[in-house]
Formats: sequence, C-alpha cells, structure tokens
Amino acid sequence: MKMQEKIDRGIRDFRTFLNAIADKYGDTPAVREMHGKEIVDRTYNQLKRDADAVSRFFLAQENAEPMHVAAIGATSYQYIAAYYGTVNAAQVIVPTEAQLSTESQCDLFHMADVNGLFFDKHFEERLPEIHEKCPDIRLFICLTEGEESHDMGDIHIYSLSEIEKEYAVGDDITVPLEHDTMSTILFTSGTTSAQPKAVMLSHGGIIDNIFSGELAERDSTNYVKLIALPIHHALSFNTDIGMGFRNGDTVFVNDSMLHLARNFKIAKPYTAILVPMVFENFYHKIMKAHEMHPEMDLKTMAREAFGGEIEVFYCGGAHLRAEIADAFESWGMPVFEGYGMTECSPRVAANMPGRFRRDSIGKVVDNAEVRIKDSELQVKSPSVMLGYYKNPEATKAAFTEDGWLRSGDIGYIDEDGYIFLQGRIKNLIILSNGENVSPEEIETKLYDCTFIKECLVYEEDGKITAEIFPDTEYAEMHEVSDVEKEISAAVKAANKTMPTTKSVRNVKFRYEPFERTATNKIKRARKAA
Amino acid sequence: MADIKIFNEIRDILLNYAEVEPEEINRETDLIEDLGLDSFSFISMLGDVEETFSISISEEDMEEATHMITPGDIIRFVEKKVA
Repeated sequence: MKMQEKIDRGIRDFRTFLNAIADKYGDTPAVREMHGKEIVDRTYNQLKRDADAVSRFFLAQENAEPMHVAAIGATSYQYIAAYYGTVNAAQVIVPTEAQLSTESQCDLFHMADVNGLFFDKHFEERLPEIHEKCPDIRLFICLTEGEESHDMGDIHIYSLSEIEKEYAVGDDITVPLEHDTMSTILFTSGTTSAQPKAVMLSHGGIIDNIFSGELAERDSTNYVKLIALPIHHALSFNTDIGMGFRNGDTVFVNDSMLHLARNFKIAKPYTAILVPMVFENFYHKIMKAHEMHPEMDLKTMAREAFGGEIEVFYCGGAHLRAEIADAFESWGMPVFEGYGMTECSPRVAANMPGRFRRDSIGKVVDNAEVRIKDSELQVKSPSVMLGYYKNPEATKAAFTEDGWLRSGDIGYIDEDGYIFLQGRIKNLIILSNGENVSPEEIETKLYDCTFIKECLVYEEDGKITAEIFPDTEYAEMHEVSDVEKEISAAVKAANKTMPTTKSVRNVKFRYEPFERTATNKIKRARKAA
Repeated sequence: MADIKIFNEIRDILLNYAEVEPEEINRETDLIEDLGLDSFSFISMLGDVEETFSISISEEDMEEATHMITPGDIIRFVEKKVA
C-alpha cells in the first residue's frame, strides 16, 4: 500500500491500519504458522475479526484508565491478534523478553505499571510468583490456542481463544485514538545506564514509521516473508510484521530459532530481516557444506538453503561484515543494512534496492530528518517516542534543547545523503545478534563479589570481557589464597543470573587500579563502529 | 541407541559449527569455551539434534537445553527424550 493510499484511507493509528489492510487484502493469508507439521493460515479478515473481539473484551472491562497489558510469548498469530486488539481499544501493550527471569519480568512490570498479562501456556507455572510480586496485575490471558479458561488458586486465567469466540459479534470499535495516543511501552537500555528504560510509542508514531518509505513496484503474486526476530523488539512488530502487512504479504512465523533452517525451506520467502549473527552462521554452514560437496554449484546450494525464492535480505541490529555481505550478494541475495532506535519506532535510515551505499546505514527514511551536531547523529521525526515512562529526567537527557532525538552514535553524512557511523558516545556493547548490552548493568552484578575492587566490562574480539582489579588485601584478610579462582567462580555465578547472551565470556585480571576521569569514573576506551 | 552411537552423531553435528578436528571433541569438551559456539550456533545445533534423533525440544525443554555445556550433557538429554 503506497503512501497516497494511506492518506486516502485516513490511516493514522493501528485501528484504521488494520481496517484498511483487511479491506484491501481480505482473504489473503496474513499469518502462516506451523502447527506441528501442518501449515495453518489466517487471513487479514480473520485477523481483524479476532483483534476486534479482543478489543470488545477490554472495553467490556469498563476500566476508568487504559490498562497496561504485558505480553510474554513467542511470535504467533495469537500474539499478533492480541497486540492489535489491545491497542485498538486504546489500551497499552507492554511486550517483554520471554527469556527473562520472573524477578526481572516483575521489575519491568513495576516500571511500566502493568496491570494485565498475556502469556504462553508454558509460562503458567510462574504466575503464582508473579501474582505475589505484582499484585496490581488483575487480568491474566493465556495466548496459547485451544486452551480453556480456568482458575489457579485465586488467579482467574482467561483464554484468548475463548475471548475471540465470545466477543466475535458486537459493535464496531470506536474508542478515540489520536496520533499521540500511547499504544506501546518497550524496554531499552537507551543511550546509557545500568537500568532499562520504558519507551512510550504512539499509534501515529509507529504507523508513520511503517509508511516511512515508498515501495518498489510489485506484481500481484502473493509474497511470503519469514519473520524470525523476537516479537518484543520494535524492529519485529513494527517493521517486519507491520510493513509486511502494509504490503499484503503473508508473514510466515518462525516458531523457534531451532527450526530456522528448516522453516526457510518450507516458507520459501522472498525476504527476511535477520541479524548479522544469523547471516554469519548460515554463511559458515553453506561454505562447510560446499567444502564437502565441491561438485555442486555454490550459488545454487546457498539459494536453496533459504528456500530458493529470496529476492532481498535486510539486516538490522548491528553491522554486517563486508565478507559476508559480499558472499550473499554473489549468491543473488543482496543484504541491505538499516539503522534504527526503539525510541524512533524504530526505523531511522535504510539502504534498499536501487538506493544503497557500501558501509553506510543508508539514507534517512521518508518523513524524518537527520543532522550531525557535535559529531552525534540526531533525528527529528513524527515517529520519535512520547518519552520514557515516568522518567522525565531521562526523557529530557534524550533530546537536545531544540528538540532533536540524540542517538548516542557518532557519524557523518556524505554529499548524497548516505549516513556513515563511526563510533558510539553511549556505553553499549552491540552484539552480532543485535542485542544491546549495558556494561554498567553487568559491572553492577559483578560488584556483588566482595573480592572485586574495580572492574570494567567491554567487548573484545566479539566476546563480553570483564577486566578485574582484585581486592588482594581483603582476600588476605579473609584467608583466601587464590583470589582469581574465587572471582572466576563469582563471575560464573553472576552469568547464571543473566540471559546467556549477556554472559561474561572472558575474564582478565590486572593488579593496578584503572585510570580515572576528572569525575572519578573509570575511563572507558571509545569503541569504533 | 548405544551411547557411543549418540556421541558420534553429536560430534558430527558439532563439526558443522566448530573449526576443530574430530578427535578434539570428547564428552567433556565445553561447547562455548572450547568450541566457540555463539548463541545462534548453539540454538541451530539444537535444531540439528532434534532432527537427527527425531525428538522434539519443547519450550519447557529449552530452559534445560540452553544450559547444556558439554556433549555429555547433550547425550544425557537425548537419552532422556528418546526413552
């Protein structure tokens, strides 16, 4: 759907968007999933019907204030329907990372004033603990298809499948939605800090971002795209799924990263958005397979690994190595890198077919402006966040005096408008799976070990590294003969409390203090892009 | 399936993800520290284990599966699933 059609149809929020795509794409499959070995399609019309049912359910609760409903689950049709249903009724959805511990989930729930929860069935055993830690949560809805509502102690668990049936028929949803009505709260490390921040995104901001670029001409053949990013990320729900829906694509849900290779062959998609780590892995596997079968054509092998229909790949989250990008290009599957921030809903700049430059993050997307001020890339756009939830100080710090969003990245723009990144002001480690890891967050955890006098966490050779200055005096006082062994054990224990991607993989010891800044902070080396 | 047969299959899978000789992989080899598997390789490897042994790794299994450290851990996991 082109920009003019967006204007003509009056699309300005999630509800007008869903109504428009259902009207235009009707019985085209919107979401395709594997249920065991069976392929199951749900159409655009079905998505609207189910989302409307969810909206009616929320409106029937007659809440004085919009609810903040968290969502913990894998990407699925039900999750997508629940999301649209929630925001279309002017409630706020709060997706969180499914792999977090219950304690971390509850911290986020408190931060965002969560009072409702969508969850996948296998998460149910954690509900009693969540109920105890977060007594404000009064609505529990199981996303998993076919489940029945039931009670668990004094917790009543609704079934999304039952809600979709019970509220299937009813009035049209007309609750007012404006451009700046909050739809979503997402968590991010932002530009700095040990604590995640709750980013408030608006209906209009996200929809504008979905339409922030004109589409190439296409024929009317149905296109399938594979969606493999975690759904709690803005790049997944807003860009991957949102732009797919804008095009009338069928989004094929990758049910698990265990099955990504298999699902590419089943889905036969024309595109996917992946992170560099995935491209690297496939590259190595393909090259290894070709080593074992040199008689086979490499390009054919590579294309078949992805189902044989790929026209273009998109890469986000981190920079893709030139060697890998070149290989994919030679296989007829060019990879286009883009750039974004959760705070910008998220697309800021993108390369695309016919408009790309090597090593750049592309040109700024339509409807947005970028500038370089004091070497920093800054953005102005209707997609910029409403602010950080209940954090006016951090919100103020995220913007310049004249209202530009600060990216925390250093770069320049060439004479043709292509943007190049050169480094980071913010202290973030960006992993090749696109995840942003805050060194301060890990350092705080490590300081729980009393034998660590000073420590600094950074990235070295792609691994999260902790450089540690042990407190040898303290160790002596406590008759600890091998302080390095003690500290290494403490690091292993700290790793167990965090997702594996944040694990410290490399420990280095030093026996003199770190150099400090004028404000007595440990000096960090500025990292190149 | 005999333990040695499971081990051989697992070693063959791991050789797709690590630049090592077969004899460098034993039951106590650390998948991350010794073989350098990153998070996606690890998950991808589990996908290959699923297919090779015709088992299904559920969401509940993932919690245990992602904490496996050695081929020995994988053998025990597969034996449990196959039983």
